[in-house]
Amino acid sequence: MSKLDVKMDKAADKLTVQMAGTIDEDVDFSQFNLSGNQQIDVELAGVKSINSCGIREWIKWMGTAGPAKITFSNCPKVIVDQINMVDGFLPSSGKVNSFFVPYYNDESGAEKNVLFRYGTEYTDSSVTPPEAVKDEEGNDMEMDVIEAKYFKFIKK
Amino acid sequence: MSEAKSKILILEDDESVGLALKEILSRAGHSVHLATRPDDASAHLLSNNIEFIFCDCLLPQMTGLDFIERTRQNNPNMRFKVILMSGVYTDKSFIQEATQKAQALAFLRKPFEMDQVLKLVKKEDTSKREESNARKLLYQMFQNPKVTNRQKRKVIESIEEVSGFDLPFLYSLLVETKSSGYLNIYNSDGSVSGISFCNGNIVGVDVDDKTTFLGEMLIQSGYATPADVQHALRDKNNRRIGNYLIQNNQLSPHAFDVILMEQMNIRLVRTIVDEKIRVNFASAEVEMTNPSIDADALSAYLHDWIASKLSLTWLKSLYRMWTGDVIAKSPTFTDDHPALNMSMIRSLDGLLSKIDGDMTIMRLLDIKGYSETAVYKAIHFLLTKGLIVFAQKAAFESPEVQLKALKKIWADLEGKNGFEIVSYMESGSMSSGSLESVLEEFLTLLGPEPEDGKSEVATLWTRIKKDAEDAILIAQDSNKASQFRQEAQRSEAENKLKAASMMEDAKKALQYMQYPKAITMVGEIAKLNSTQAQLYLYSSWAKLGVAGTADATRRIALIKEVELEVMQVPPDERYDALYPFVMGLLQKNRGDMVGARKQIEKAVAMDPSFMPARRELSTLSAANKKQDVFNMDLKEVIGGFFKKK
Repeated sequence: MSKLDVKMDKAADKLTVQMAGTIDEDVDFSQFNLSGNQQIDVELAGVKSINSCGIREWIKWMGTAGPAKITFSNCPKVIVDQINMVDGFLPSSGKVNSFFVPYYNDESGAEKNVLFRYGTEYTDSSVTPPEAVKDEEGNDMEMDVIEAKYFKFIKK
Repeated sequence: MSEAKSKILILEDDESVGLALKEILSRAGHSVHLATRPDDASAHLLSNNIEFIFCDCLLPQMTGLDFIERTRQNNPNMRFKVILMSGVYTDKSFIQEATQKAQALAFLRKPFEMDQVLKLVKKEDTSKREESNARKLLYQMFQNPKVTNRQKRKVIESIEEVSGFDLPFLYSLLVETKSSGYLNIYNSDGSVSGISFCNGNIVGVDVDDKTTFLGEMLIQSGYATPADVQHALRDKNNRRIGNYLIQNNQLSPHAFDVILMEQMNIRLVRTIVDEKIRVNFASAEVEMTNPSIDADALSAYLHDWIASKLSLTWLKSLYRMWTGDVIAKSPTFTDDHPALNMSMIRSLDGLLSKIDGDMTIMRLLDIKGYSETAVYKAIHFLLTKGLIVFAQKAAFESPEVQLKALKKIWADLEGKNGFEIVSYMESGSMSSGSLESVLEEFLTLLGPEPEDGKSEVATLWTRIKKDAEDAILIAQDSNKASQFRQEAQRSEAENKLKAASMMEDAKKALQYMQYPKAITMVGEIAKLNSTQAQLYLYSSWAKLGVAGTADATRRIALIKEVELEVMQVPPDERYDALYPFVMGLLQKNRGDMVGARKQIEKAVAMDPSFMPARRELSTLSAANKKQDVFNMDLKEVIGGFFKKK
C-alpha cells in the first residue's frame, strides 16, 4: 500500500498538488493525471522521504505534465537533495518557489528548518540568508548544510 | 594534516581600516597582505595563491568591482573568494547588485565588527577542511562508536564524489551503526540505485539491472533440481518461480529466503564498481521485511566483495594516506569477533597479534610470507568491519624509514609524465577540491624536509616534491589537461574493446583445448583490462587444462593458483554455466570425480548448449562407469563386486 497521500485540486488552468509521506516503489502516480494544465503547483512540505524507485517514478510522472509551468513549494531537504543530484527531477519548465534549510546549534543540539522564499532569501543567482536564526532559547543557529552543494540548483 | 590557514589579500586605500583588518586576521594565524592600490594588489595576486580578497568598493584607480572583474577575466584559473566592503555605497539594491556581480561571499558595511570578519573566514575554512578531509573522515567514523545519524549524514554529504569501491565501507557503516533510511546512489550514467536500511539491516536493494539469476541460483545451490526449475519456468503462468516451486513442494520457504538474500547480494555487488558515483543518505522510517541482510550476513559478503571486487591498485591508492600511520584496534574490537575467523585474516599468520599499537601498513608489507594483496585486503576488511582504526603518529621515526617510503613513491612516479603524476596524486587523494589541495595533501605523505640537505633521503625528497609541483603546473593548463584526459579515456576504451575481442579468441582456444595458447592470451587480456568479466574463470579453465597433462609438482602449483583465482570471481559471475564448469574441472584435478560430475551436470543444466561441459560430462561418465559406486544403484554395485574379471 502506498505511504504517500496526494491531494489534487484543480481550478481553471491551475492544478495544485499536495503531497505527504514517503515516495517509494509502492507509489502509483499513474492515477494522478498532470496533463492538460498550464500551471501546476506542487506543495511538498509533507514529504518525509524518497528512495531510488520513488525518484524514477517521480521523473516519469513529471514527464507527463507536458509544457505546463511547474512550481515546487516548501521543498523539504530530501527533495532539495534530489533536485541537486538528479537531472530531470525538477522539470526544465520547473521552478522552486520555496524550500527549507536545516539549521543547527552545536551546543544545545537544537535543529530547525527555515523557509527560504524566492525573491526574499534567494533569487535566480544569489542567496541572502536571514541575518540571524535563533533556537528557542535564543542561541544563534548555523546552517546545517554545505552551502555550495545545497544551493547548487539556484545557480544551475 | 596541518590546520588550513588562509592566504588573504586586503585591497583598501583607507590605511587605518586596512591595518586594523590585517592585524586581526594575522593574529588569527592567516597570512595577510595589505595593498592600498589595485596595481600592487594585482602583483601580489599573481605570485601567491590567494584564497580571500577583502576589497573596498571605492579605490583610487578604479572601483573594487572593476578590479575583481578584470582580475577574473585576466586569470580565469585563479580561484579566490571575495568579500566586498564599503562605507559609502550602503543602500540595499547596490549591495545586492554588487554582491551578485562580484560573486562575493559577503558585503561588509563599514564600520563593521571584527568578529564578523573572523567568523566569515573561519566558516569558509571549516567547509574547505571538511571537504578536503571528507573521505578520510568517513573511513574514521568507527573511531566513535556513538556516531549519530546527523554526523553520518554530514560526512556523507560533505563528499562530492566517491568511488563505487567505497560502497562496501558505507554499507558496513550504516549496518553497524544501526541506521534506518535510504542510501541513494547516483551513477555517472545518470541512473539511480538505492539501498534501504532498517535498524542496521539491509532490507531492499534497487538497481537498474533487473536480472534475477533466480533459476541459476536454485540450481547452483542444489535447492531445486534442474528439471523442476525448467518445469517451473515453462508452467508458472506468470507466478513467481519461487512461489510456484514452494506451492508444489519442490522448494522449502526457508531455502527460498536464502536464495533471495543471495539475490540481494548480487544486486549489491552490481553497485560496487570502479567508477565515480555520488551518494546521499536520508534517515527515514523503513519497514522491516524478510529476508534481510544483518551485520553477520554482511560480514561474509564484505569478505567476498573485498576478495573478489576491489582491485589492488585502488586499495593501494586508498591506503597511501595511512602508510606511515599506526594501525590500532578500534573500541569495538573483541578477540572473539566472528569476522576475525574469516579466511582473509587467517591467511596471514599471526596478523592480529602484530596489531600491537606500533604496526604500520609499511611494516606489515615487509613481513616474510605476507603478500601485498593479502595485506591490503585483510586490512581493508578489518577497517570496513570497524575493527581497526588508523592512529596518527609521526610518520617517519628515522631517515631510513622515510627513505624507504620515498623510494616506494618514487617507484610509482618514475617515468610518468606530468598528467600521469597528477592522476596518481588524485587517485590517492581524499580531497575533491582544487589541484593545490591535492598537491598539499600529497606533500604531507613525503614527511618533513630532511635536515641533512646532502643526504640521499633529502635528494629524493626534493626530487619528488619538484616533480609533483611541476606536474600540477602542467595540469593547470586546462586545455592540455582535458586533451590528456580524453586521450587516456580513448586509450582505455580501446584497450577494453581489444580485451573483449581477445576473450572471444581465448574462448575458442579453450574450446579447441589449446590450453597453453589460452594462458598466454589471458595474460595479455589482463594487461589490457584487469577487470575484464570472466577473466579469472577463463584463466582457471586454461590452467586446469594444462594441469591435466602436467607432472604432479606442476599440477599442485597450478591447482593452488586456480584456488586463488576462483576466490576472486565476483559473486555476479558465479551464476553462469562457466563457473560450475570450472569448479568441476578443479574438483576433477583434485581427484574428486563425483564432485566434478555434479558441478558439470549443473553447468549443462544451466546451459545445455555449452559443448565443453557436455564433452567433459561424457568423459567423466565413461571414466566413472567402472568405479563410481556412489552413483550406481545397489544392484550394479553388488553385481560389480562379484563380476568375473
